[in-house]
Amino acid sequence: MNDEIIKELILSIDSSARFERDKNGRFWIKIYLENLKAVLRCLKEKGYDYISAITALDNIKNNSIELLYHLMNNSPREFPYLTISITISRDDPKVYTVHDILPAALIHESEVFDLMGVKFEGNPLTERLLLPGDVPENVHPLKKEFKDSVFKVIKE
Amino acid sequence: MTYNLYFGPIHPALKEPINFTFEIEGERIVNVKPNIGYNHRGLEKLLESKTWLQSGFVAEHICGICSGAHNGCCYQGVERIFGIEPPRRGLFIRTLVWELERIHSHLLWLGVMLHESGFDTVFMYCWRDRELTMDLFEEMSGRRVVYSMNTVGGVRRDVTVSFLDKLKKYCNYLEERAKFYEDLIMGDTTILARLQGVAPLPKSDAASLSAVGPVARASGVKRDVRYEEPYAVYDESPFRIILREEGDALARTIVRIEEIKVSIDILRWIADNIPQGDYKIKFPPITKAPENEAISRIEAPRGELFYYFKSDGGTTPSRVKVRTPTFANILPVVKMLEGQYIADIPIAVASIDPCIACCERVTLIDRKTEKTTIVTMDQLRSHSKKYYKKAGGEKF
Amino acid sequence: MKIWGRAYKEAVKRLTEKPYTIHYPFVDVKAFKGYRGRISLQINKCIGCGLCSRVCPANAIEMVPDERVKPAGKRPHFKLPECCYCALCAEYCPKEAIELTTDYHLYGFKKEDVVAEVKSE
Repeated sequence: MNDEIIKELILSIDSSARFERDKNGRFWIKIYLENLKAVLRCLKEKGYDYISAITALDNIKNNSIELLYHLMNNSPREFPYLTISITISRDDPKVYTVHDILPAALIHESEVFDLMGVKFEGNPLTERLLLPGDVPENVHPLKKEFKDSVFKVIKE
Repeated sequence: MTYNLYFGPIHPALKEPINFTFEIEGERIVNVKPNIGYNHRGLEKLLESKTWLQSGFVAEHICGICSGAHNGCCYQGVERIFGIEPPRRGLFIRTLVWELERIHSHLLWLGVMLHESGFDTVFMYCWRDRELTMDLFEEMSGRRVVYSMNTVGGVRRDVTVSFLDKLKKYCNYLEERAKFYEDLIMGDTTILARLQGVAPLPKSDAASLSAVGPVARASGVKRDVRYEEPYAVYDESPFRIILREEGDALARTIVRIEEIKVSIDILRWIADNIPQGDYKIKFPPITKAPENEAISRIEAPRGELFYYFKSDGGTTPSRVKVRTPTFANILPVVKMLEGQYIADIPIAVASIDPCIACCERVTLIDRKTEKTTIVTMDQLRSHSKKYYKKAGGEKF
Repeated sequence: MKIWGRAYKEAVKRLTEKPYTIHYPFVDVKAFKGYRGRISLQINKCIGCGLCSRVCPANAIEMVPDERVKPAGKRPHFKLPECCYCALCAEYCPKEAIELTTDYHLYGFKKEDVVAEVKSE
């Protein structure tokens, strides 16, 4: 697999990126928030135009939210399956949208906003996708502090 | 001058609740806005309070048709977190369950598709052939619909030699029936007039919008997890990938019928070559996992199923993310319906094989304060009915 | 013409065959051996350890006091309307006192009418 090509490509944009390859063949990359669009554009020219999902992880200990982008290449037997991760703050979670580079990210970002409360600037779908429309504004159920209180809120 | 047409969530042409708003001019559709969330049960948050062994039993209740796929993918991910490998016989039995489930799901879909086109006799024929598959499942695993054959480290029950003989006889019978259905569809002018050229999806759109499953393969995009990163025993089996170029509803039908034939070949190979030995590894029911994260992807009957697990060293997972294939196919549906007639809406929506119950299984509904973790559908259904009546269907 | 020939042949063939439907309540259908139906507990084998209620994914088992079980003095009570029939309790019972039978006729007018079977021999 052409790991070295991908490594050099990303290091040329973001020199502080960290790489890790685990036993099952996955390739995990951590970069800074500002370089996200440049990295995705560069990877798309190399053939990475399929996005599986966008995952949001809630870290109460570091007071941050981590976003993972899972990408796959057009020729998947030569290039590895990547996961790119960025970290944003938990008190005011905001990031810009990437749906101009990868159009399928529109619906994944809408789901992350609905359930974790991360705002994506530039995403045209601003209303809740999965939860009903009368759930109050700052109720985002996947955060760790919500245990039993949600359905009482909906019942009122 | 465009009018708005509201479709769903309760409609005779739909099998599961989903709401679309179509903007129409005359008879042609100009714009589509989907609205999902009527079947939302909050299973991603529920999985954070179940142990590693119990997680598969919650995951398989996400969908009734593809429950074997969810069960196997969940336990494959848990095995990757712990770093254990199931034995060979266990992997063969797991692949057998996956391929038999693909046959039963495609037969169900074929019946529903022809029922939407107005051909009810063949709908009954397809579902009759599917009943024989359910009998095989009942003999092997104990239940007809939610089989729960997998566990961490292998499978829970063994298969006998007499079961494998019955499987081979069923494969011979099904091969003739698959040929009968294909001749029927390609030779009948009414069915061809309803399916050919309807709801096309060009290849560039299918690639850029990340379509998955037979929807992508019918438009010429070579996307199949069994080809990209082979798992279980697929790299030794006679698997081949089916592609078509046109991208309309007829191409999706032909791709699924050909996949039934490929599954029959794989089942015959499994029945002849299954090795002897153990079928599972001993695993304690309540145990702590090492700190790790893992991704597990398989090819469910509808497309690529994606599970992500994160463990913080406890007895329960700290985060589970599930992305089902129907969720990824919503944007291609919006694209393929532009410019089509209103009368083609049920055919277009049914041709992506929608499993709306799979689409909405994210976060919490931890409802009663006594911490019972069974989520009941009744209150959710009445809440959704009340919301729909109040909002009048208008959301975007 | 080929289409008419196939349709006629199919119609004639099906006229002479028996229908596939079984008139269920008048004809009883037996499930296969190994079917996971109603739960049955053998009380003389139970030791009251509580492993079944810890392992149940649906939290449908609760331990109630019963003096037939020695020395622990409690036995499991199965709430069948909440059970998902996964058979984990039968798999992990150390004395093999729980068994899932082939009885699938689980009906009643109230939820409390559907109960598990408790055998004492």
